[in-house]
Amino acid sequence: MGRNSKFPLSRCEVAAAVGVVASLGLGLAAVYFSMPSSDYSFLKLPRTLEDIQDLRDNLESYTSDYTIQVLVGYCTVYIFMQTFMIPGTIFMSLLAGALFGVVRGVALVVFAATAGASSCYFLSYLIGRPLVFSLWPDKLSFFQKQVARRREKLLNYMLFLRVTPTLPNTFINVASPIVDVPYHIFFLATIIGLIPAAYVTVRAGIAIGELRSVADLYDFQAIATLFLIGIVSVTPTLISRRAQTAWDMLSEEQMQKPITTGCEELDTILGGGIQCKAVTEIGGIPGIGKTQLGIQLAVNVQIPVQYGGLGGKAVYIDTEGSFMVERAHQIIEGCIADLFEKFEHRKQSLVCPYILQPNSFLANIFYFRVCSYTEQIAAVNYLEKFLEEHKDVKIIVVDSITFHFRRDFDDLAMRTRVLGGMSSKLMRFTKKHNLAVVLLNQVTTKFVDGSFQLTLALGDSWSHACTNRIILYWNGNERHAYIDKSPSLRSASAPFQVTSKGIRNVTSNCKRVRMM
Amino acid sequence: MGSVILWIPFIITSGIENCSRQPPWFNGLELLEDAKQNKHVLPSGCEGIDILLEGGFRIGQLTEIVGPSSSGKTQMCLRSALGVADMNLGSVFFLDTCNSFSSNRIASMINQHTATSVEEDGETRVKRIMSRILCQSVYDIFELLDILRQLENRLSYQEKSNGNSIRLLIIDSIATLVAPILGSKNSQGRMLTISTGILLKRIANDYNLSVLVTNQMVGGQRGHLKPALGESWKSIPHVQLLLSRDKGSTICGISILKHTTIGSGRTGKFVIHN
Repeated sequence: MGRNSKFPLSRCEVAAAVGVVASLGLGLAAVYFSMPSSDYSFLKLPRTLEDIQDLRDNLESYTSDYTIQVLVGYCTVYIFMQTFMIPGTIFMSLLAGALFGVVRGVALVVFAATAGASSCYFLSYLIGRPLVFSLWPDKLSFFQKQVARRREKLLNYMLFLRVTPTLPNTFINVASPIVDVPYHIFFLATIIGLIPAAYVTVRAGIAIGELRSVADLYDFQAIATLFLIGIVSVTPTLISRRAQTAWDMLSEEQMQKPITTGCEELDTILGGGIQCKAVTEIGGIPGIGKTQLGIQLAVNVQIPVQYGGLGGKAVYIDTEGSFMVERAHQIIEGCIADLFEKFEHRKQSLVCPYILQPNSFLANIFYFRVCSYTEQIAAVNYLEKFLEEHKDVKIIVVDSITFHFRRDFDDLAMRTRVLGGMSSKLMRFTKKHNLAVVLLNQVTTKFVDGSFQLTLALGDSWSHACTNRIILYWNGNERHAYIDKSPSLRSASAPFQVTSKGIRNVTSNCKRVRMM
Repeated sequence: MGSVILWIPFIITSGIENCSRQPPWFNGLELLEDAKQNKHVLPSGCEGIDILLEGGFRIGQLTEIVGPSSSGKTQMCLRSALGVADMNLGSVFFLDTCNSFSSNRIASMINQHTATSVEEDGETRVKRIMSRILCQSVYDIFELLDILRQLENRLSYQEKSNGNSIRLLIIDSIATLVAPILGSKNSQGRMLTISTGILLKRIANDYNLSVLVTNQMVGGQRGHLKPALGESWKSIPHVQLLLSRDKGSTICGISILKHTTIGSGRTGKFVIHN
């Protein structure tokens, strides 16, 4: 943006800031010089209640004769204090009540407070924004995104913040331009939201003689009323519908990191890897590498964020007993070795090496062994509670989903219903907890068009239960993966290889002996 | 005493409403007026389909798209959502039961199919179109009924012919919601299916929107595929379209199984771009 990195402000911004300060100083000087000569030792910024009472006693006589000067002086001092975040504006509000009564006091306080908040807004816009932007760009863009998402109901949120004493007003003034709150919303929220608090303070100011300390001002009733008004203003946001527009979902989807499979060509056709928020079904003949792919994904999901992964944990539901811990250990070692090789040049910013130990990777795989279809249904039901407690699980691998359902069921209609219920539960998990579900499926033969063909098990009705479907097959001596069904990826196929380190790219000298 | 006073305005307004309420029947001329003014045709976004359907999806009707797995049903739904949002006909409400709604896919479709005009550049066009498509995930039939009733409430309070009112309601796919409850010995499943269908048709007719529903196919006699959800659902949609796609090809065939004004059996083709 053309800024000098040493000093993040441009010349005209500095000039504008100096101009604001100068005009305020001029205003104060003008008031000072136009007042009639007299003893002005009591004129100081009020800091305690006694100062207020002093000021009130001395200024009461002037108020009726020199109303304009008192008003201008008051406004200038108030705006000055708000712009430069000098604490003590509450005493000024009390003074307004003491001098001018309820109605005129509230009007004066709201006017002065809004003007002061606006000038603080502009000052923060000029100076604060570039400063914060150069110091903490990541946190700033995070907050800006949060504010942009709630753009429609921003007025309600701002009203809530102004009315209730949740955040101090000076903080709201300074922070609003930095997180891109537009000025008209800020202005409206301030001018409406300050009325209740101003009313409470001004009314207390009238009876300033009876006040012992500032704590008396905000008794329980007043605070409760303020919160009630605040809740009323924010209620429209809470009952808004849960539907999102596609535009919001787009920005969320683009921030989604996929889980890499370990093979770059496979990642490319999958759009980066296995997508979170989707149920992916992977099917193939026995021996093609489905379990290997499942274990590889359970390992790759744990790659720390610094290395481009998700840093999550994995749930592995094993129905066939094909998960071998020794093989998982081998795959983990291969993954860690590859990570170190890839990020060798960034050694100084490496995460502590003790996190990248095979044992810590193994500890993050939660393994469920189920031996019948009822246990499988129970495991999926239990996962609901499990995922509430373990929020960082990012992938659920079920290996394989069909094993128990192929042999125990006489009533096929009931099987379809049970499977349908299980798949909708899994779909619900992916959306709610933002994780990926990978289902490994077996193949069966089907008589289609006069010949027997291999299709995925569990029938046509199960084929609709997943979001994406990938079929693994042999092409000559190489393993290939083919995208059979996907709403957002095109049909393509990619070769991959199962090595001792796990799933990797096909190298030109791969020789795989196919077991007949 | 005070609470009685509060009820008085309510009694007065309901009395006024009763006096001005219309009789619950229409004569043929009023129906024709209603059809001409309100029940337009929504383009499906693809010319081949529009020619086949003589315009597109009619407002006030429930259209069902049936097809085997991966035959282009979701793509067709996304395409029609895009078409309606792009031509400023209204907004689209997409109820997604199988996590098949992909906003990345819509964004890439926008960049391919719509032309940039002079007034707006690519980014604003994408934003404008995608802000009109609302998406919500539904995972069981009771949630669906709840959402439809809330939608009905919201639509009844909205003013008519507002530029942002919902014109197209898409449910993809209704079979995943209904299949788990159908088929058991008691008839509660069939009852829920039929009441969902009636609710959808009533919403479509009263609030002038078009409902698009996708359905799956299951194996029938002798290995032929037939639409899922059985005989009780079969009579509910006004229009039934069958999609088919050969494996590996990008051309989808579409044929009319049932329509209110066009004879069944007519076929057409459309292409899924990348």
